[in-house]
Amino acid sequence: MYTIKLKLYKPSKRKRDIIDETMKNYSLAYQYLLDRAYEDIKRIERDFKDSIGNYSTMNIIKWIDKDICKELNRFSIEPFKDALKMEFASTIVGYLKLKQSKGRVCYPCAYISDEKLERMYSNITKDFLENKKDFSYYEAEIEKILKKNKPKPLFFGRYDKNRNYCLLYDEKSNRYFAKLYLLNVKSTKRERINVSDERKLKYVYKDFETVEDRGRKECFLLFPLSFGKYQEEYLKQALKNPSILKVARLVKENGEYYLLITLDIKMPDRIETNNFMGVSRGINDDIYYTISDNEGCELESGFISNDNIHCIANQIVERAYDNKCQVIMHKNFNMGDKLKWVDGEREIMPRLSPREYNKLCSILNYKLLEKGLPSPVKVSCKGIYTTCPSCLSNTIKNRFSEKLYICVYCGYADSIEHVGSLNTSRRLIKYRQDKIKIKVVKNNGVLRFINKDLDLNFVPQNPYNCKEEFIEHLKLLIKDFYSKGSINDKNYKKRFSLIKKIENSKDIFEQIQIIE
Amino acid sequence: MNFFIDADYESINKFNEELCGDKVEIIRNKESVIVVLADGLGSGVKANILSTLTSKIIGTMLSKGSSIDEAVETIAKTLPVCKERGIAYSTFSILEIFSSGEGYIVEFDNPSIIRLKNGKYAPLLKNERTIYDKKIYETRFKIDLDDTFIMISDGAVHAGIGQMLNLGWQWENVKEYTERMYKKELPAKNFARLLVNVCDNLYGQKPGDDTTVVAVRIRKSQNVNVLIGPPVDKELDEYVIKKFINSDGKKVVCGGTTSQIVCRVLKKELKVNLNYINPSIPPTAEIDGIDLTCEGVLTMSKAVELVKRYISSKDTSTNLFYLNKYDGASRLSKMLIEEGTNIHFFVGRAINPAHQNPEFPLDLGLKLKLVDDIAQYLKSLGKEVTVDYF
Repeated sequence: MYTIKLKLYKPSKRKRDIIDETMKNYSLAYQYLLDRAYEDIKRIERDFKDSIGNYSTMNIIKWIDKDICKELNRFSIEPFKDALKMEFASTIVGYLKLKQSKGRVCYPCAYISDEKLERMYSNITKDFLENKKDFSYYEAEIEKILKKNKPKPLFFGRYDKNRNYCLLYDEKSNRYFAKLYLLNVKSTKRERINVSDERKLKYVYKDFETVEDRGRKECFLLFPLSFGKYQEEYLKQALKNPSILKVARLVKENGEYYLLITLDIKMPDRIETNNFMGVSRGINDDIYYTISDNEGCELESGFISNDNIHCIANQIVERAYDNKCQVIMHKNFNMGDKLKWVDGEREIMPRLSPREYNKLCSILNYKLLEKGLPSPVKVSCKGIYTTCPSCLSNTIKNRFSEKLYICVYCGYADSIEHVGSLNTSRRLIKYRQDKIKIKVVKNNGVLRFINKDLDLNFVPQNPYNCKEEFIEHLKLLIKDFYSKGSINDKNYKKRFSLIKKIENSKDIFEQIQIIE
Repeated sequence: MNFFIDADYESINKFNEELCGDKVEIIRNKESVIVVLADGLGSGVKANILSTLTSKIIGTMLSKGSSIDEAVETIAKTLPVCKERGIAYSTFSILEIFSSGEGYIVEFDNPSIIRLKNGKYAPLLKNERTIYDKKIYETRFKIDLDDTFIMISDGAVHAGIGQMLNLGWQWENVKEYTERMYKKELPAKNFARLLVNVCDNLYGQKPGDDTTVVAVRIRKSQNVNVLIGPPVDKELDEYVIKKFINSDGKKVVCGGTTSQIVCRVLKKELKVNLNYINPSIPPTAEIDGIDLTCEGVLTMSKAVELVKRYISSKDTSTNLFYLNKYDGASRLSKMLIEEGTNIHFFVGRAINPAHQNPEFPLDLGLKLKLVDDIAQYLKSLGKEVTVDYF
């Protein structure tokens, strides 16, 4: 599945008002359903499970009976009723599932109306003025409620000529339009559509029928669309095969309206990667990359700079595709990658901010998939610019100057950016090679093998020959993990990675390092 | 002051040159250690001849009691004149450290010698003087323990020009790097090797000039006593062990039987370590009062390999990797290379019954050869080595 984002091109004030009002009504209706469900949540939790005790959207929808459906009519959202039910039900399913696994979770809130916002604001401010809450709490709460005051996007549950939404195409001008059903049949805002004689709009739908003025007021509105070349490629595919067009969402971002359409297009066959491409930030240029093979030997390196982050992403994808690479990027910028350089009062910042770098990562997420490559793997950026690629020593002293890296242990010298991307490209190899450290404690003639991350505490019956016994103990430990381990455990991820390492190893003793 | 002068150097040739235009002479005698670094004009054979003559003449003359004036005059008169430039030229730096604790430096056109005191740069006050039309800088000073002197040729300060760095690695950068990399226990060889490695990397492994770094470190004398093998005559067990245990410095016992004899004589317990780090090297043990207890011939042969690799390898990171392991051979070689300045081997010549097995690939001769080899290697590192057989 792919999603493309198309902008509604300069909608008139009337159209904007209609969208805004519909969004607001949709949000109010959504919140109304959530409020009603809250009063009845225990019954929903008890009676709307399927035969094996799971919650599903189709089951929860059944809770919305005729009376509740009728109640929804006062919000004038008839065209979105089905979509609303689906969205509501999936929210409740998510909530109940989370409650099942975590125990305590906050009940979802879709929208805070203006009146309610005012009330909440007064209460929060009162608490702050009376010193019951501090400023940071006050600030966070205000931000939270303001966020919830924004209307929800409109959801179009199906692609159809006569309801929900549809795309139109004018072959002459090569322009696309969206036909959105936003009004109900009783709405006074309905108007006749204005189809110009010069323009011949066709439905992007099975028979490509021409859109005609039926001489009556319509429940839908027509919007010209604007988009880039990337989106146009997909629209051309839709022209050839309209059945790829699926659900859509209408969102409002910074005063502009966008239609997000989901396309049912088969992803290309997944490419087997056999190299690694480390992508890190630079000081001279936006991005540095290094491609290493499976053993960590460098094959290629370089840098990319461009004002448009999408162009940088395209170049990375191109290189990764040519070399069949798994792209590796950074996470945990809060820990600091230490690329910034302070020289007296002069502060030299990397060309890309962590936010821009993360954006690049999210762009690569879908661009790589489109090429059949896996999404980027994010590794910790800790020590990326301070670890020596030659001797692996890690010290801040290795950063010699703004751009120069010189290891104080082995004399390896290189540009700081190259070191960063090279280390990034080798991170997964390092993770793979890291051994599982098992501590041996000898106490009163008893040997004990300990690893806290694995929850290993093994005392062999026969300390002189305990190889088989140890393997059996590990097997039990793995079985125990899969039957009792919970994703909510603080140590879950670390334990899972160690368990996987043990499972994937041909000889477990090659993966273990015994320490005293 | 009881000190040991650890002096060593490393050089890299200009790219595509077979001979190095820099030459280092280290002359050790009872009164002093003289270190001369000469950098001949140009590169290749011509530079090599100029620098060799300069360093040899200065080294020999100073060690025989001549003054610097006489040495400089001799050089000026004897160096062959370059046909292209019409001059006889070789820059030089001289560092002489006397056993009395005094130091003497003479510099002519070479980058200034860097002195580090406890890892921090300590400038030297220099007097300018002209000898035979050559402007030289002279310094006399007192040395302290842990003082480090770095002599570099101009290839070091030009490293990276037009490649990784616009203006090359300036003298200030070299100075800053030496402060950063300083470690009290780092041997002179590693110090020099590290700096040369940096220059080589900055040149992108294609040096634009001959580059040489000499490191001289003033270290506290550290004895390391190594007992390997039981004496031929069992009656001598107690005598040898007591002699060994009463020696100053660190103590290493190599060999299973030897360890048991030590425990028996000293009435101490032998604890075998569990951490079997390297399957090819037997595990170490612990005896109270002994710094390292390890197996004999296998560990020693591996240690010889490591010392040999240390001397021949130019790669500091590999050495760092091997010497910092925790197996017996790595610990023994690290102790001999990095910590010991005076090494004393107590070699027992009793035949190990295990070595009589025809399937066992080792024999007594090998043990003696191993000791002989390691002694030679350690001597080449400037260490004082004594071997006693029992």
